[in-house]
Amino acid sequence: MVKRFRKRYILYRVLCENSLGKDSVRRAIYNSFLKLFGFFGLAQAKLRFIDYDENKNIGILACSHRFLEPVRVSLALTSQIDGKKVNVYTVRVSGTIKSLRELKLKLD
Amino acid sequence: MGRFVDLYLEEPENPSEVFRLLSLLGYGMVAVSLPEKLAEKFKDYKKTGGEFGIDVVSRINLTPSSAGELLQKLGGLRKRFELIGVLCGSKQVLRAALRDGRADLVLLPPSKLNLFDDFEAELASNSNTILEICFSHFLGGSEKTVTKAFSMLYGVIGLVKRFGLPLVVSSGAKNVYGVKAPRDLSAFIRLFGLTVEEALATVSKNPKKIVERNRGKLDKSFVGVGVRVLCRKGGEDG
Repeated sequence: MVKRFRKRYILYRVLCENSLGKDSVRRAIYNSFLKLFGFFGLAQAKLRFIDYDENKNIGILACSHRFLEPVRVSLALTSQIDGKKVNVYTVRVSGTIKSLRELKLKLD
Repeated sequence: MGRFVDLYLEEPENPSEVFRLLSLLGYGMVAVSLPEKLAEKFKDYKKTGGEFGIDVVSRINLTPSSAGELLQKLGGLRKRFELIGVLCGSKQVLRAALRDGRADLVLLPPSKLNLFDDFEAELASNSNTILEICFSHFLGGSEKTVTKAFSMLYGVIGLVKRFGLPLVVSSGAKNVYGVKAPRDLSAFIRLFGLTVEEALATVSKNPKKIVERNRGKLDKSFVGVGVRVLCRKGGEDG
């Protein structure tokens, strides 16, 4: 029997002096992953941009549990978005999106 | 207090902001590298770090051009700093740092990671000096340089595994934008072939061990390896 695909949800934060648009963040994250692991890696990782709160600078990504670490690294290696210096770091990883959404509400 | 350790912050621009983020990310101990003439500022860093539950360690980075210069500098600095890192630009400096017990960490520029080969790995296995990988070295470079550095890092990690060497991964942050989550740093090094436990040790156990060893040596009660003053004649504890 084929093992079921397990997801991991990543709550991440973008540190930047100015507020960044959702599309810019999405593009930067995908590009960083593509640069590191290519299209084949992106397909395997099943990386999905779920959510990004422009006011709080917090977002949620989904990926295959096997590719959690490559996704973390591609986030960490994102140093610029739209020419602005940024720091993207993982806040929490979970197997369910519900717990991350709750945490996201609590974070300021 | 967090269980993670970042052994390399390069003179942070806004210390309180940096320490606040570090504490949020789960760090409990951080080494700040300052030039020799600014050593007085460690007191302020330690105080600010304490406010956020972070134990600040004093560190100095040396960039000697020759082995002789390294040995000369190490003599005067060992008792003044809790950590000494050596940025090695040549094989002679790297070998001298690994042979001399006074250097704690050796760093290699990303373009010179290939200086660390079998012979250096064997030297490191019989030495107290530990290889440090600085994450900031891989940030912002051109595709060509980063690819080359990653390729060389593969070789280095292979040697680290083969010789069972301890490794330290640090951020090398100068401001909040350089600070990385400890699990992100361990995920980075895990990509090159370390196990989960080995990768987590690079940001927790391994760096902590160096600091504890050095603090023990800098303690007044320390006489030599394995010899410690327990009590002095006047009843004063050692």
